[in-house]
Amino acid sequence: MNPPNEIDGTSAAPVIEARGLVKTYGTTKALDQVDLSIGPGRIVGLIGPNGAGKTTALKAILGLAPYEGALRVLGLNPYTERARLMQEVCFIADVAVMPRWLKVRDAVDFVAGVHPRFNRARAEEFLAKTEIRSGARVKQLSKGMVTQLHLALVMAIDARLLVLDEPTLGLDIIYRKRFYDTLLNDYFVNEDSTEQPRTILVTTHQVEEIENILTDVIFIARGKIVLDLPMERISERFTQLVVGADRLNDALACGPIHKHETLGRHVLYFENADRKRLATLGELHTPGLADLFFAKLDGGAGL
Amino acid sequence: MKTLCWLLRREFWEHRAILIAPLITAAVLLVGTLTQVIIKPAQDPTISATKLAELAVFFATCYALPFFIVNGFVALFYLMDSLYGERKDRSVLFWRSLPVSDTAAVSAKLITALVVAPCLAALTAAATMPLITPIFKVAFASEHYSVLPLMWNASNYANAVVLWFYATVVGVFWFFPVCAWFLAVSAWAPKNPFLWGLVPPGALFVVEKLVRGTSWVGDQISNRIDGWLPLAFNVNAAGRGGDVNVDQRHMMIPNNILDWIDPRPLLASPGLWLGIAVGLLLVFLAVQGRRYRTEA
Repeated sequence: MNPPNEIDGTSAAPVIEARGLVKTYGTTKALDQVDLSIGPGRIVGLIGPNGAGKTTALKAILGLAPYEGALRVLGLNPYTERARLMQEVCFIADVAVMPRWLKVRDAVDFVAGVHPRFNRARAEEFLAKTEIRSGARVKQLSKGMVTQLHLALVMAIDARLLVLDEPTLGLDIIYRKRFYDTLLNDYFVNEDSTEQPRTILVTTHQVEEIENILTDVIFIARGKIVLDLPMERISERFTQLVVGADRLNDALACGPIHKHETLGRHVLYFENADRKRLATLGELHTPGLADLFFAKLDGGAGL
Repeated sequence: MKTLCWLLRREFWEHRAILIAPLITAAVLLVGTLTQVIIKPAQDPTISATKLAELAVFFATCYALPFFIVNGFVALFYLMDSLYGERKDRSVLFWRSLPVSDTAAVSAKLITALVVAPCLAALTAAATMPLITPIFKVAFASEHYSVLPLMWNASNYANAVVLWFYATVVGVFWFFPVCAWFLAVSAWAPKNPFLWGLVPPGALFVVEKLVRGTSWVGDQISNRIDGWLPLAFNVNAAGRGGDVNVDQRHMMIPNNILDWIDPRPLLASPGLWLGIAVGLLLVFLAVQGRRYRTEA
């Protein structure tokens, strides 16, 4: 038997590796030949419109659904080795999957009972900072509190991969902000552990709120990967040009991938463009993820 | 093993009915017996001492019957809801995010229905029968019935409890395929597991009756419900009694109701082993369902 790749401590091996991943529902291809490689220590945003295949991809990665193609998560086959995989992987599918009848105290007891890498003190410390009573049942908690509870449980697990699917869906803005702060401070930057750097894979509609925490971004549309890039390379690859009507034709001649108009000014997006030349036409910016997302997915519309 | 204990506790947290149902049964029986005391039972002076002795043994033995019947319904509702309910409220995504295999999760549900629930039913019966005994003693204190309290003694009590647990053990194996069927239905049903679980066997029964005029399906179903009783209990043994002197009257009573226990015909019956084989297949299907279906 081949040793799983956690044996080699350098762990240059990818945490998630997919080759030709396909998932079909009837005649629709939810995933169409997806190739992915996510290394350790990355915070990856998986971004796409509804029905693009985000959740399908996560389900495959978490062993929640069968798929075709090659997929290894931490060196394991997620569908057939889910129970083992879950020792090293945590996920929050989305809010409100905690069973309503479960008491907070029992939830902590249960996870402590079945999860070998669960740090009970850590979960309790986290819960103590919230207003969640340990005797309360999940159904008595507000939506935000349920997410806090789930997060407290997940944060206390010394996992190598954390998968979050729309974790802040339905939460108000204060909770959302707190959620990602906690995620970064308490989870990703964890001084007290581990040999292995942690990896986070997150999907969300709210591109703006994760923009600053990501190290990598993956755009997915109609089951295909449209973009897969480290954040620091976005600025060298993509350029946003704001140009007046007088220079518009010159700018269009440079081959933008997308264009839209605001307040009489034209905003054009370029991929791998000659920045020096563009700089002579108008103001240059690095596009934000939301803009870029729109530019990549809306394609040539508007040109 | 530790994981299994936690899984069983988790089932118990979710389904308190496993404990509450037998307690309610006991309460109903207690109240019922008390009312019988207030409304004095019509006493038949012609009843024979032998008959009374048999009645006493019969009462002691059958005291657990309501508990087992109620438990059957509790287990049915529990199993139908178990895998379907967690899909419906999506909590399956939470449970499956923990390092617990689907086989372990499904096994815990099966063990809860087949072992934990009936044991709790039998234990509750055993714990509450001594409460009923004094009521009986008051109710049947008259001369003709004075034999009853004597029959209702510690040894009869202990024997009855042993008998119940024997029935519980037999039930684990006999009802295994039934529980596995409901579990598999709960794992796969797109909605309303009750219809999926009960309508197909019912429909088969009706169709067979209409088309062929036979009732093989019906026989199988009724055999699965009570067919184990004559196989697991040698009721004829009750006739083999000893001569006992009670109140200057000679009477025949079974020496020991434990003589009823005889699992040999059951172990020799193909129904038991076929059922276990079918049950294993259905459990396998249930595990596959837990694995494959995460949405209801």
